[in-house]
Amino acid sequence: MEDIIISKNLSKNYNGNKAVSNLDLSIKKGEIYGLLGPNGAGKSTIILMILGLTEPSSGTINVAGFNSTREALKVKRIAGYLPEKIGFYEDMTAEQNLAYTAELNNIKYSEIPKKIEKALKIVGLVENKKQIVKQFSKGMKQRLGIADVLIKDPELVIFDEPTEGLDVKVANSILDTIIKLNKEKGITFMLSSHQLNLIQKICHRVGILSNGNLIGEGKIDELGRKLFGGGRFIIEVEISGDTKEILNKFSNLKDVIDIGKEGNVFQIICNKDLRSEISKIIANTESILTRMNIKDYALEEIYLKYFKEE
Amino acid sequence: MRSILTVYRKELTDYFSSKKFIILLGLVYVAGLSSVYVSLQNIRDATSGLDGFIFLKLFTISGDILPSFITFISLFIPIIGIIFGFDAINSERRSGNLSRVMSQPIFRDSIINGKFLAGITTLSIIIASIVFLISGIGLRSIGVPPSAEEILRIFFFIFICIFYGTFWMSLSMLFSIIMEKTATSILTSIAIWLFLVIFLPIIANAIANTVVPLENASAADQVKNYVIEHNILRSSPSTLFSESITTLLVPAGGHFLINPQSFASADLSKMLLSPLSLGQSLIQVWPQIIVIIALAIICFAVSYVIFMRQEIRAT
Amino acid sequence: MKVKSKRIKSAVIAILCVFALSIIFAMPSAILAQEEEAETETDVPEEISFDIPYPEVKAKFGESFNFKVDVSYKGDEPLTFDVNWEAPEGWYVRIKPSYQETEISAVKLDPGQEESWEISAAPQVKVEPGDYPIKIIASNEDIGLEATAEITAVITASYDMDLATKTGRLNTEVTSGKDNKYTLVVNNTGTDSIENISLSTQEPEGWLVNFDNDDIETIESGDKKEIVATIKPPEKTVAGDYVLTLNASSENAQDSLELRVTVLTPTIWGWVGIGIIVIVIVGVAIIFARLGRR
Repeated sequence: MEDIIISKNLSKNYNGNKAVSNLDLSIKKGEIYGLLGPNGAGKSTIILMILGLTEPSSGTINVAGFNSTREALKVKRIAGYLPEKIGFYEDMTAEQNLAYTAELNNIKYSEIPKKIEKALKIVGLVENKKQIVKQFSKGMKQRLGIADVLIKDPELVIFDEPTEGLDVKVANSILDTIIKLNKEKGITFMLSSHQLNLIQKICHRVGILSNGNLIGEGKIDELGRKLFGGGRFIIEVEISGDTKEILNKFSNLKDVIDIGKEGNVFQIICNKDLRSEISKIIANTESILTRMNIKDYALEEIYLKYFKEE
Repeated sequence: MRSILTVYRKELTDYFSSKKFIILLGLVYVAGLSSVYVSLQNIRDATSGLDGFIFLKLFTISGDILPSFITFISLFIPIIGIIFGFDAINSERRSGNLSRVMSQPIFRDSIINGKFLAGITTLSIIIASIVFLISGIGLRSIGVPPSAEEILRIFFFIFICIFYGTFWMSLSMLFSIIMEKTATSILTSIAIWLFLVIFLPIIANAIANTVVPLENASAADQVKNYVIEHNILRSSPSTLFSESITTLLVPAGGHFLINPQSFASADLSKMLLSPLSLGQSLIQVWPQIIVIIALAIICFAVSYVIFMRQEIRAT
Repeated sequence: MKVKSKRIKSAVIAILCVFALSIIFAMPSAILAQEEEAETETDVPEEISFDIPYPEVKAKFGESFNFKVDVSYKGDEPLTFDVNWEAPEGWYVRIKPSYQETEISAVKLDPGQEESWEISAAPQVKVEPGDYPIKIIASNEDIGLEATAEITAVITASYDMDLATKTGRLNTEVTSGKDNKYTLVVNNTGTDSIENISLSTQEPEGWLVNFDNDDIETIESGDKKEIVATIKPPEKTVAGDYVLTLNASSENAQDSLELRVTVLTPTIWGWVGIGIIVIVIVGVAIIFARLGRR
């Protein structure tokens, strides 16, 4: 698939500090990409450079073939941006706020009401059209923000901290909307966040950012495999009794990549779900299986792993 | 271009929907109408009939209690300007609107240009409407139509008022760009205004009295003292403003205010207090007018440059 | 103490009694003595005479002429005189003793008595200026004694002029920059004709006031003339009330009149003023309606 965002050697210095250094990023059309990293990792800087709101110190960035620095207007025409702390004019109604955005996007006056109606329908705020934004809750504002970017019929939406400050229920409804838009309209999403557990569920690919460097990129399972020596699963086994014999037997199992042992607890990294084999091995010994669980690679662990290594 | 217009229209709408604007407009109207009431009470005593500029007197005559319209307006214009500009950018930034609006396909300067133009427009509406309102009431009450020259002088007056207001607006807008909190930016603007209007005269007076003490001073020294004080005051735009509007609206003798030296050295017994022509009046205060316009432009240009270079970060 | 004061009191009363009695007894003898003296006087020829310090009095018509006459009588015994006057037709003369209000037609005079009279004469009808001799006669027909005094009332011509407005109102309304006509009346209220009346004004600065006839040759007594004044306030006159003083003067008489002139706003400018006010209000209202939210 074609790339919608391509950055090459992208760097940005603030007062001598490198906020972003030599970043090569490519985001495919139609995917949901998660840009992850702690605060200050350079996520916002990258976003601002994508939108042409900040000039890179060196390197280039292109959005849908337009140079973000030189053709910022064209980029902003197709790319919607939801800032982390989204704000609306509080004394204006939802409709008036969206109409202002529509006018700034050079949309014909006659089409504006239709577009507003459509966008509000998608986010479920049609009822609140005539309400002033001051009365909106945080979640409603976030949804209005989505409607706001939809006004311009974007190809790409950059969403800074989409779930920040929202309770899980509201955050999930926002994420559902993102998936829906991605599927139905084919809109590419770039989500920047430090809240991993929520993001990982919907991202096709993630990039992990640390101090301005992309230290890992790819599908979540790929990332995990790369990180943990290619294994996909972690099986934790706790037994009572002799562990030495069992350890040997585990090592002989196919598909096992690595085994760690801490007291009575084994950590088996493997490419296959080996739980039945493991329980058989234990049953054949005198030891007793006290606990066993299996984990898919969670982004959080990947993430933690990266920053442990830092 | 359309984006500037869109921002402009939205800002205008904001002004005309905001309470602060309606309160300001009400204040200006109340002050203007009470001053015209007072000037109508006193206009016949002040009319010599010969000097001819009766209509202008509507704006310049003061009563026993209430000051004249030009005094009121010199007080109100800086306040209006400051109130219009102090939260122009930082409130948008804090509310998170700035980054959202900036991510729309518009040039960055559309925002500051649109805001600036909307401010000037609103200011012009306030000033022009009260001046025309006073003119209408005056025309109705005194029955003397203004001469073409008087009309021109009134238009120049409005013009200077707008530029003076623009200066204050750009200054407070500059602070709204530099400073993050609206409270800081308004306090800074008001502090500058208070300094220029209240403290500078005191300081100028003190310096003049130190350089040329007034006790037992000869007439020449008194003039010297006044000239020193006056030159220090000239550093304040409010002095320049009052000089230019007084010269414009008081054709006979208004210019003495700005040339104390000539006033002191001239043989007054041979001087006729006849009105200056419009051209002469303008030449008298041309430097003042130019400085006011330049200050407004400089403040705006500095605001513009800083705004264009500023980071848009949301936090 | 008490005893002593009593004694003084009785003493004082006694002295007062003696004093009073002596007066009562002395009086009749004094009166008698006087009578005796008169009787003993020799015959004196009876004579009555008038003395007039100012026999000619000048006044204008309408005023009264006052004379002072001193009457003296010499003779043996008191006599009563009839008092009469003769005056030209239309005159009435009142004769009164000085400082009294009663008009007298007879007087009783004691020998040697002097009295002073006030005579006031006034024409009861309109009379021309000129000399009017009046005779005052005091006579006693019994002994054929008569005294005549001739006094002359000289009526001088009066020059009186009254400047008034035709309507009688002392205020008018004018429009600035226009000729406003206003009719004045000069009344000759004097007794003689007034000649060469010139009209002048004290007007506010810049005003033009003209008269259709600012030099009247003559107005006969009792006659009047109308004059049309043209009042033109300058174009740029602030509306309101002004005082315009008009003077009519001749050699002999003059009068002036203060006219309150209300300068009206020329209707056109009044309407233009209202028009501007309305435009401003409507304009601001439209801006609010167009630009304001809700």
